[in-house]
Amino acid sequence: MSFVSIRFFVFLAAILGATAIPMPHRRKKLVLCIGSSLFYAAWDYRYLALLLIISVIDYWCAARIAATREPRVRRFWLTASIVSNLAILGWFKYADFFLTNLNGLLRFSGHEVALLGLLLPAGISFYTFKSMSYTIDVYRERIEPCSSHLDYTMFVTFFPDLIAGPIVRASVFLPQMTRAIGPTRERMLHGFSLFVIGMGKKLLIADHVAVVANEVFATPAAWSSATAWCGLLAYSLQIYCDFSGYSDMAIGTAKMLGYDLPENFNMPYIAASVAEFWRRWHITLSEWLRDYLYIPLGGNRKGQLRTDVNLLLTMLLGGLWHGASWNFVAWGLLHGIALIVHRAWRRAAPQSRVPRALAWPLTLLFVMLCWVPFRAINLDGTIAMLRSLFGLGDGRNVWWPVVLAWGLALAIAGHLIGMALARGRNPLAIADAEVVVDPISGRYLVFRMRTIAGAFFVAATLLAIYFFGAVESSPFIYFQF
Amino acid sequence: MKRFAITLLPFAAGLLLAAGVFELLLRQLLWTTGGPGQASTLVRRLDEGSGVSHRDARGIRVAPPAPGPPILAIGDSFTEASQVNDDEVFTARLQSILGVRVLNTGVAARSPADYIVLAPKLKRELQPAWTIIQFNDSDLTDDGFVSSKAHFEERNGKLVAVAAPEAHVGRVSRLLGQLRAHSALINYGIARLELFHAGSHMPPLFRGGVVEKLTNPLATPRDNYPVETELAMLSAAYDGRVTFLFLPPFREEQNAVEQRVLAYCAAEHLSCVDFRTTFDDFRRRGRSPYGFTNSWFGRGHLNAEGHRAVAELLARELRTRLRTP
Repeated sequence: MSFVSIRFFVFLAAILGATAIPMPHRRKKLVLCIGSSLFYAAWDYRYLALLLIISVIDYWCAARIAATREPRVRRFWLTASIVSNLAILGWFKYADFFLTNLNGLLRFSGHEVALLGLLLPAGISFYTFKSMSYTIDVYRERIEPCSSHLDYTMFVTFFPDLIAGPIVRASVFLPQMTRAIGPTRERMLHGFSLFVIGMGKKLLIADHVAVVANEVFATPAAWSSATAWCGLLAYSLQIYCDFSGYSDMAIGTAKMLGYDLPENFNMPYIAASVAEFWRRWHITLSEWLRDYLYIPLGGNRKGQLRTDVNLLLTMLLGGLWHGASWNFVAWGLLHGIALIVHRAWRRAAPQSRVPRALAWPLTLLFVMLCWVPFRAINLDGTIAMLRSLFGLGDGRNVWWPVVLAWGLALAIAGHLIGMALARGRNPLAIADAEVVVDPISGRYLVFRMRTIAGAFFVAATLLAIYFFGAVESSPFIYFQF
Repeated sequence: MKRFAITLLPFAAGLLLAAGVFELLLRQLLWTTGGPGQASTLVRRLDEGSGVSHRDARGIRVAPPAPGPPILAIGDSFTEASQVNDDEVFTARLQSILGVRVLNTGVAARSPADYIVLAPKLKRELQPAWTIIQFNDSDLTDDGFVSSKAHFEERNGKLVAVAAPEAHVGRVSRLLGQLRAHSALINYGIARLELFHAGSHMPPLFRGGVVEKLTNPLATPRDNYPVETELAMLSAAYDGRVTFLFLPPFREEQNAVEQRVLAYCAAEHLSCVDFRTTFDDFRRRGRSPYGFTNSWFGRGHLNAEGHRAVAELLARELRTRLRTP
């Protein structure tokens, strides 16, 4: 069930309506659990059991961890939780990738292993990571084990972040369990504002420029260098607006129900270094990888070489998390190398700073070029696209898609507003928008609609989405991960 | 009550203001004035191309006057060409090349069965010296056999062209029609709703996915359609003074339907123009005859360059047929 569909709007209205009815807190949680399960089942009801199994395993393992002080036993239950999560993730997401590569190696021996052909359960990468964070944090004694299985099931199945994040940690979500559930005027205003912004990013920018990206990446060798760059720019815009739009809608939906989800994007394309990019891009994943992979591997505490290896390993696995393909591994590898180079540069010249005016375009160019293997169908497609970009191909087709110019203009306007907000100014104050700084969800705008200008701004935005938003478009990119 | 009204008034005023602004904006982007039996203007700048088309009361696209018996151009949205301006359509360009009036009567969604059904009326009213009939492979196959519009049907072992069934216009539809005729906001609002509704059959909901194709039980697979009979009927309907304009897709290889059309034209010595003959030139220049900067490359309707190429191709063919200098 996509967030930008009539079916979802009906579903959301039903959930909000049900949670608005006065009833015991526990029953409202049950309503949310059932609603979330239906939301998930709308994709494929067969995998609902998988989601519930994960919640049972991790709840149980965490309870066993908390029940003893014996380090060996605690480690055993932690390992059991991690292994079962990774086994489920590996089986459904990576088994065919592994078998395909195995078949490649066995090619000369004449043997071939049949592929499993499993359908990837929606959001599996997100909810396994989410659930794993719980047992690890209980093991580290950072959080208390959840006292109610209903609470834990609600955390794992919570529909706003279930399919494509943000990856909400138990330490962020479980403390909110005591809050009253259901819409209030204030919650609706906050949630609605975030939802509209997210929907605008998705329908007004991402889905329009997706046409350009799809067109160019489908036949990368056919295009002139200029059009290939248009395609790459379009994809860079698409993936950001698609994913951050989804995150905004998820955070907005959760707010309507009374929950705060963590900020996932903070204008990543204004980053002036790769390290800064990763502090702004898919923040919940970067922080998850940092806290649950990079630091346990030793982080930067075991010498320079080990730090570099840890960085590279973390980014490689981060790349592989996105999908079972060597293209994603290559993407992670490139970012890992860039982070190592950045660290080396900082070590070699701690005092010298590259001017932001130079560092920003260089970083953006690097990030954009890294999207080539990320988006291309395979290695051949990556090479063909790179050849076209640098004028080494035979492609001649020239196409100047005007939607890209519109998308770019909107994205730049959005970034200018975002940068002004970060500096403590509010350029949309005239439209009765209020800046909210939330300790969990970050900085965002709330449209109050108490003045003519405020009501005009919101109505115009909704009309723009209705009239100019893309109708034919692709599903959210991160659904496939 | 008073407090409630004070709270509500700015909100309502803001909404009305936004609706007013969008009404004006949409009139500049996508709007039709006039209607059946009247001169009309269609502004289309939003989704595919950017053109303003004017039509006279007979539905013929406006062009400067020219001497002699006219050439009639009939076809669907490719001939209607609302994506480009009046002077950019292939009919206008052909007229300026040949110096003969070319009457563009293209209407979106029409099919070869329509052209046969309409032939007596068009010949009587417009008295063409020659007729250009534009179509593509789906017009002669799947689209030509959809019973909800003018279509071909087999009756007693004979292929016949059947007129479109009379559309029933209810009271609500009539009221909506009047509202749509007066407000761009309502008109496009309903059109968008229809798009969302149509898209709601696509998984997941109104996003992406594959639209289920209309299938015709008469003649599937595609190769079984009676293409040659259809061509013979079209030619006969206009007394054999016909040039077929075949518009194949830019990105696909020649298919069986196209081969059959060309083979039939050659066998029967019919005037036939295959637009594919210009594709190599487009490819050499890295250009495409179809698609716009605000839609796709190589897909959709003819762009201005495509129309120019069609006109030049037709001019070469018609000079020999009509013996014009």
